[in-house]
Amino acid sequence: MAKVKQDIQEPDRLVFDLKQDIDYRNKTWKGLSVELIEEISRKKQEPDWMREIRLRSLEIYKSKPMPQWGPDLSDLDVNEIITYIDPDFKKQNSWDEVPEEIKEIFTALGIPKAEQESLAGVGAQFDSEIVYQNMRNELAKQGVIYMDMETALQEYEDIIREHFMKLVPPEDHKFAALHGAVWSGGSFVYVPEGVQVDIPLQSYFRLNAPGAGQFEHTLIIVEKGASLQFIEGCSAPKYSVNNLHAGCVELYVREGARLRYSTIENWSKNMYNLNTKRVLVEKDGLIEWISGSFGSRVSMLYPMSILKGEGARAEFTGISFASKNQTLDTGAKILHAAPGTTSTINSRSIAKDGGKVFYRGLVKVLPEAVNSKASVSCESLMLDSQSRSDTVPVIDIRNDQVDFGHEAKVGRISEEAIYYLMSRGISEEEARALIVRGFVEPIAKEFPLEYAVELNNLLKIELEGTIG
Amino acid sequence: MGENLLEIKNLRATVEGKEILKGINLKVNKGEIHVIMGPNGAGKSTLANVIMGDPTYEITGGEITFQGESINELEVDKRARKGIFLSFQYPEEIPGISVENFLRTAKAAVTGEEQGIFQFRKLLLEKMAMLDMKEEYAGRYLNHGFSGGEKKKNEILQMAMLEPVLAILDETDSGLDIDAIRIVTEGIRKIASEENSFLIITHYNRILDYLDADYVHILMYGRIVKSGDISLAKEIEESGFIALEEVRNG
Amino acid sequence: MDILMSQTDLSKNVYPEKIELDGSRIDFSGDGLIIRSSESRQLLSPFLDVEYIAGKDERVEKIKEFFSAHSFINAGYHIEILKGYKLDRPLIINQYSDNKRSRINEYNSIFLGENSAATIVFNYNAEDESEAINSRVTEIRVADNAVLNIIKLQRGNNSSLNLDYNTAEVHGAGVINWYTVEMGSRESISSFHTELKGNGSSGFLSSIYFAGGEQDFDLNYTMELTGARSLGRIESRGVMKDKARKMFRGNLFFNSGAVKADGSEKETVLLLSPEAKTESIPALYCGEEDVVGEHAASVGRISDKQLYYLMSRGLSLSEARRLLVESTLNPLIEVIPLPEVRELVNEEILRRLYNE
Repeated sequence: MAKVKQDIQEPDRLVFDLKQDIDYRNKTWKGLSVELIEEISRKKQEPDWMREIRLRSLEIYKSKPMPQWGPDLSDLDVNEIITYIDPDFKKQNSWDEVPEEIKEIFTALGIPKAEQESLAGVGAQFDSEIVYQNMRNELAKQGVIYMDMETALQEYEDIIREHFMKLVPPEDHKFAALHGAVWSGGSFVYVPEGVQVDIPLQSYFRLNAPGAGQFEHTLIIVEKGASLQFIEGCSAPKYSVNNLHAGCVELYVREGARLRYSTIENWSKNMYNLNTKRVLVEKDGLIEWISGSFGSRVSMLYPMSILKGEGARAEFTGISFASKNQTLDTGAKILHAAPGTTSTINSRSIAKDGGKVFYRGLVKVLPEAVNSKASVSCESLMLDSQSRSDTVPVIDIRNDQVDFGHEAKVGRISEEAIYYLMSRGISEEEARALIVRGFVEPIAKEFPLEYAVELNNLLKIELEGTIG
Repeated sequence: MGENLLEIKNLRATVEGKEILKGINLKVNKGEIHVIMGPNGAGKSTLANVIMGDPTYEITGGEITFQGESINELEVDKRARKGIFLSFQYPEEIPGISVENFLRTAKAAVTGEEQGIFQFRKLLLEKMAMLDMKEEYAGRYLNHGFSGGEKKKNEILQMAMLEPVLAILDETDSGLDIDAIRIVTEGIRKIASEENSFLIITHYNRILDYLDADYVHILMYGRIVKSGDISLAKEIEESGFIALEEVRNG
Repeated sequence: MDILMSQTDLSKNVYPEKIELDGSRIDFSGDGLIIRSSESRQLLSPFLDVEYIAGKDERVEKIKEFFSAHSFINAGYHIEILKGYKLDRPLIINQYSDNKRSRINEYNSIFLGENSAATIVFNYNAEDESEAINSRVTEIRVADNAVLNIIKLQRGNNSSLNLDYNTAEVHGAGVINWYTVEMGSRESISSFHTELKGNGSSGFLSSIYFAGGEQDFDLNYTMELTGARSLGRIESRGVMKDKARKMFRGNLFFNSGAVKADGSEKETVLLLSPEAKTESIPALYCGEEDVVGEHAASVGRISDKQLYYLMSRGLSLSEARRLLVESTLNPLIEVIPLPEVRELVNEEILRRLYNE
């Protein structure tokens, strides 16, 4: 997929921590009850079937135990999380109409500027609802749909009904059920057959309210032979109370279609990021996941690719960087369910200052997926001994016509490499930073340009003071 | 004869408690080319790395003076900034960093001046052409997946870019075919001037066919046992290091 | 069941004379070696309290439960090699199940004193086709500078269940080399847990398996690197045919303080049938920065190109296949320290490759 040359100014780290003092009184809905869920559904004027999904999800949520594996979630009390924030304004398609205090934040994050310069469309969510959505006219003319989920549910009810929570059913796990019950906001993208969207669309999710949850739902359908680049950004200012993100992403890549889905997750370090992403790839389709995990207190994120059609392909490229008080439990899951399917997982992680990174992955090749190819590569770098780095890749192969390779490495920066660089006049601090940058480079170059810059800045900030 | 550049007095060094250098004395003046020969395990690479400042080695006695100042305690990068360069026998592979990016950073560090992207690139391509290297090397990761010969050439490219005052070549000729040796030595000749000096470590004579060495030293058992002019190398070629064996006892 | 020491031949007892089991007891001591039967002994070991560090592994739990439910011990030995004593010939323990001995509850404890050395072979086999449940626990302690080679050959019959739990502690600059060969039993669940406690201690685990028919192997290998400069290697090579299934769990732990430790795991699987199922979890747990750790796994089948190449040199299809199976397993068979065991493994593989 063609990469678009973009010239974006380097964002300032401080903008992530900008807080808007918004009066949240009388706007926040807390806890989980049938009444609250019916109220959300009523307010959104949803069809009955959607209300039923919500209520059924709530039942499932209540009946499911917390995950019995992975990071410690005992400090997370979902009953204390604000499940819905009622905005008192309507979604806009002009930034001038967006309330000033909200516009200010998105401006600081560089969204309107990026929209003008390098994006084909932008959706911006503030707390529970999309506040701004717009897309270039020429795409609309080609039949591309890009809108918030609420509007999509009104205008394209049939399509939504056919796909909504079909890839990630609420039965999947406790937080998928929670999502099904209280989801709000998110984007719907539809790319008609043969249409190439070469300039990315971007949805940005901003959680501003302390103690709140964000439960956006992203549904993307890329029809036969079409292509799309989609970027998802997320951030939140830091609060002393827990925030929760339990979004859901469902992607459909039809025959011969291509989708590149990039995420830079930079939640504040009081965030529980328990997100579920899944794609169904049909014959000769291609999904490319580009995933950067930097923020959050706890992340559990394992994008799953179901290679359903013959010759379908999945490529996952991910980086995690955990520092103090962070547990980033991430990875990728691939299900080879058809002949001639191919997957590549390339993951790099860095741990410092007592941070914990955990790569947890699955590659499963079903008996019918003959002549498939899979390769997994995980590397992790430990910057000190207070930190932890664990790698648990599960490999499950059920036929013999498979070409599978896996490799993983863990270790520190080699002293010999530092000596070599220093012998060329580079200071020790710079040498270490160079090696860390080199370590993430193969991943970083896959990111959309503005995010590559952001990635570099994040690395710089994260590495300051730890090196030398 | 130019002014003194490097002076080593009674240098002793150990690695993991084992003494490798047992009292080295050596003087290198500006504009000179010195060759150090010796059998395997004599301490040639140790000497090179001790001059460069490899923290693996411990100096237990003696002094290294560079441009009139003792550098015994100086860190590696500071030595590089003073103009010392080592072409490594086994260069490290650093994946993820391109040759170009790395050299621009190093050049800026050594010269103390920011390197403009386009000017730098022009210079780099010039030097690469001189060494008969393909342009694509600039974009490849540093030494990553390079063949032995490619690594050695890359070391010489770095030397050409960083323009050191003292260049130490540790077995740069080993693993190179005749054509590559010719290119490398041509590169050295182009860089060589009245202002810089070379210390070439080798155990073959081959490289001497292409370079006019001023001095040849024989390093054995951690000491320089004999020094002379180019004829000493020929002597070694004919009778081998064994002929010098008696020096050890004498 | 018998115990014998032999120099060359597994079936002959050369030295000392075969020690017949008198009822349930056997005691032997001399030349720095002490052997005592574990039969009827109380289980003194801390085993039942061991918290299996790789998380709650249900399979290991199963072995434990089974063991405690049948707390009588009817097989196994306490073997002690005294300080400075080097056993100059292998100690071979043959154990057979048959219709009279269909419930084996074996407990072994093996202690190697400082600077001692021994090679011990456990040769598990079946005399007939009767169903047996073999449950085994082996605990090992290797002291400073001692070297233990331990070979476990598992050739139970196709109706048996094999549950085998092994745990070893290596102190000082001690060395343990495990050679496990799994070829028998309907279902075999085995676990080898090694903790490299001493600074400079090292552990090597070589795992060879050949699974066919409807055999089901669950292989758990854990190497914990705790001591500074400790060195741990897990290498597994296996061949699978028919409807066999296998689970490989390799756990490499770098505990805090294991500075300059070096650990690796490697797994190679050759699939000979489309119905064979292979699952692997080569995990790496790292809590120390100054270490080198890596793992690699590959799963493949015999490629047509390789077969063509070999056959173009005159080999028959089955010869070519045999060659490729051997090339998969050989790197580990070759390192087994006893030639007669190598031979036996090779024969057994051929037999199983050609369906007995």
